[in-house]
Amino acid sequence: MSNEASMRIAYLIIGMILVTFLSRSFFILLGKRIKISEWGLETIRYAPLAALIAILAPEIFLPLGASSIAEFNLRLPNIWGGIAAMIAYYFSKRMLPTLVIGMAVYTAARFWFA
Amino acid sequence: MTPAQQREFIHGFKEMSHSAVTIVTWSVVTGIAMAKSTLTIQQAIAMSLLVYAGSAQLAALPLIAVGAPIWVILVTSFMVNLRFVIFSLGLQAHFSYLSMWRRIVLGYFTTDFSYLSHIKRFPKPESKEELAKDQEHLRLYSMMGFQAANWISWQIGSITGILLASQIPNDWGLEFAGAVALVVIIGPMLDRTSARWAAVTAGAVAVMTYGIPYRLNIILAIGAALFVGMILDKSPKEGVIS
Repeated sequence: MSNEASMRIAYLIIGMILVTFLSRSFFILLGKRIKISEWGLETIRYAPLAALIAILAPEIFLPLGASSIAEFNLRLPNIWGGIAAMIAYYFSKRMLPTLVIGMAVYTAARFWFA
Repeated sequence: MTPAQQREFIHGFKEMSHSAVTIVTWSVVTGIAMAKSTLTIQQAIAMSLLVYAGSAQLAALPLIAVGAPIWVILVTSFMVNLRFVIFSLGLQAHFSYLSMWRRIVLGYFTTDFSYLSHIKRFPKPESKEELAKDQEHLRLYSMMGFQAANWISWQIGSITGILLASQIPNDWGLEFAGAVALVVIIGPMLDRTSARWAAVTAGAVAVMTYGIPYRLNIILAIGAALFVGMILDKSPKEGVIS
């Protein structure tokens, strides 16, 4: 890793440490200075879900380093592994079976489409 | 620590230890995903020890890999961590007697597991009278016990995952474990129709606008999902932030 790239990661890690502090101590830091309305709390309710989905969906449906949706194709092992993991989660609701099935189908698809 | 404080600390520590298997499973998978990302082993270990926020770390990895700007990664981490903002409201009520910096440190170590264990054991903050009697701040020591067991089991699993995965060849495709872990994190959040539609919206927007620069598709997706969630939530009181 180049020097510049590792500095970037160092800054990022420092930033993420601050984000952990800021989020976990948000109302401790701001105390009574800020009042978030009911409406505000309701509105942000789906933000964590949306952020995670926004990360995951391209991970599953687009190839690594894709630049647009035009690169979608059914030969991507991620799609099959991802769908298998979703089905496994739906039925098991647990981490281990989801992981084992998702990884197994992903690996099989990689060899199948290789 | 006084004997009573020690007793409470050990009680909390033991109680959290019952969740150790779950915590370790999560942290091993997170560790594997970190080791198989673009991070070096040292960076992965530093992130695990210092950032100490599993979902935010898992979400950051694909963004780091594609070279998204630091601010986009930080905003995304904060979004993923919003549940802690809500927890901090409860924490503030429970520990308002502590000095500011002790509360901030306490906040930093309060994960989902330790917050939920504390609230389960002590649903309400202490009243003025209770607090006057509780000179030793026993609830604080119970919480510190939860946090210590949580931190130790997380780090053991995470660092084990990082070191193990770094011994495994890259072409085994282990990096996909991070995506599977995200599926399992997201699953329980889809408990309402409005949440499912918000999720579909976020996914569709994120994929369709994938080509725009700086991974701003994530910010767009969050905005669109909040909009859809807000419109669909006819009875906004029914759920809690997860």
